[in-house]
Amino acid sequence: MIECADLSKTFRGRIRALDAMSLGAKRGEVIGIAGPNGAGKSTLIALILGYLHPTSGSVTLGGLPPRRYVEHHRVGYVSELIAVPPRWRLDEALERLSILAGVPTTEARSQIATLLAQLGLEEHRAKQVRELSKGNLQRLGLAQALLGDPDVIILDEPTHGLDPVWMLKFRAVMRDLRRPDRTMLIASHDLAELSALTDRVYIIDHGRVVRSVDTRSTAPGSREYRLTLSTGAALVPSVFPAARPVGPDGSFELPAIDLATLNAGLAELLKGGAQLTSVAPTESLLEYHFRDAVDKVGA
Amino acid sequence: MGRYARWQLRDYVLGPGGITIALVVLLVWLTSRTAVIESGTGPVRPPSLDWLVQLVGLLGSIYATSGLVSEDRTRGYYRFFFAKPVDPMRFYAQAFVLRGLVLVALGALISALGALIAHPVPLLGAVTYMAIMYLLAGGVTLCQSTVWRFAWVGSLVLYLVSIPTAQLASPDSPIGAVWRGCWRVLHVVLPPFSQQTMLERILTTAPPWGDVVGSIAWCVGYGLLGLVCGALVIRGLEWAR
Repeated sequence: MIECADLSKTFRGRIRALDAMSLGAKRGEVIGIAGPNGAGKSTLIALILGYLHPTSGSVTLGGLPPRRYVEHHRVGYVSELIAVPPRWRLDEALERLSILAGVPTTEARSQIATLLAQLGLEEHRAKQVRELSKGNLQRLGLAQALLGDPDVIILDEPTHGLDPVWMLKFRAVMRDLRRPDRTMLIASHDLAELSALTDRVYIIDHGRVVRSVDTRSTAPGSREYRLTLSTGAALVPSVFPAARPVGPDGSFELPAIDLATLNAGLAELLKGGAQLTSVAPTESLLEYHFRDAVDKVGA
Repeated sequence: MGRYARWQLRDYVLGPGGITIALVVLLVWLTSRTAVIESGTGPVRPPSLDWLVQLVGLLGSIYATSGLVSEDRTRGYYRFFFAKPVDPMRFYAQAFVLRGLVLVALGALISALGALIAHPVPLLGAVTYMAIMYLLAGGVTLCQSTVWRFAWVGSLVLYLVSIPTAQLASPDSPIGAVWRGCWRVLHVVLPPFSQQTMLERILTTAPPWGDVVGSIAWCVGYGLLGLVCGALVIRGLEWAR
């Protein structure tokens, strides 16, 4: 559905924002884009929506050039910057954008009412956009993106500026958006969010895809773990010589080890009478890949 | 897209259009007051509003179209508008037509108000003049609005340059033939704002306006050329920066 092949974008002939980037998202897939600031996420999205033209390479949506697809199909887009004229009322903004989204008048009213309720915006519906908090503005951004039941949804930092309560609610809404005929692309700094919502994450840096991570896959060979015991902490240094105690409560950080070594060591601890409280990777799979990929690019 | 017309109309009437209408009403009132004051000191000359049609035809058109595209682009409003199934060219074409219709209606209003203060501007003349000037000044300004924020400045500069250029390019100009030829080229390239003096006849005489058909065609043609250029720029525009 979304295909980028050797996509490059250079600004003013010298600033290379994207460098031969190739990635794709099939129908029904949810893909994530992660990367440090300035990695090229927003440029990529602008190219996918046809707001920029590639310097070289190609980008297509549903096999069509971006503008041709966007102007004839339903695309939902939440930008990092929620730019809506400040004097528009919230419900007016949704009414206007529902017209532009091609929602019939008869359906628009019910769709808007549903979205206002779903995103907790009912009490703010008569407020002008300039009176909305950052969080409410972000919710307005998501509401307008969902007008017209789009087949392609592109979210650029969708939870930016939301409080933790709404961040969790947003994630639930985004999880519900998944369906077999819909393609979603989420660009975010929040790796936990991407881990929870996506099938695959492209890690980009300096305008290139530096790694593609299948977020449904199993752990890589070696990872760091945090180990907590209620008894038997004295055994840990002999079993895991490189373990580093953290805090006074029998917690240790284990340096990168593979699963077999970890399991063998844990078995030895249990055999020696230790009581384990928890064993968990110190970072998620995506965090691990992100750090590893970006470190390698930096090196 | 057609359903969005009422919102575009509302945006204009509550913004630049409303200010233009208010200024027109104020200027008509001031003109009528001047007539009353003059009548106290001697014989009163019925005030004419021809000048107001010309003023609004030029400045109202420039004001109406100045930020039409650039505002959405610089403020980032395009992000949501054009992520919807909307053709930007049609979106702005519709806004351009609607604003033009309001200005043409304003021409009719000035004609009616002129009748109230004793010296009417012919309705057909006012409406036609307004439409021609909107196409010319609005077309040139809209074209500039696709590439920069200060399209109104550009249009005013073009206006101020085109008037002396027309004088220097005329056969009566005292300069040499070679220089006159150069000015003539520039005169043809610049927007034909100098045709305003010819178009004044539309406001004072009844149709047919056979002697100004050439001026009308030049102004309309130039305005349409501006619109076509604007449409081509919008078609290939990089909205994001």
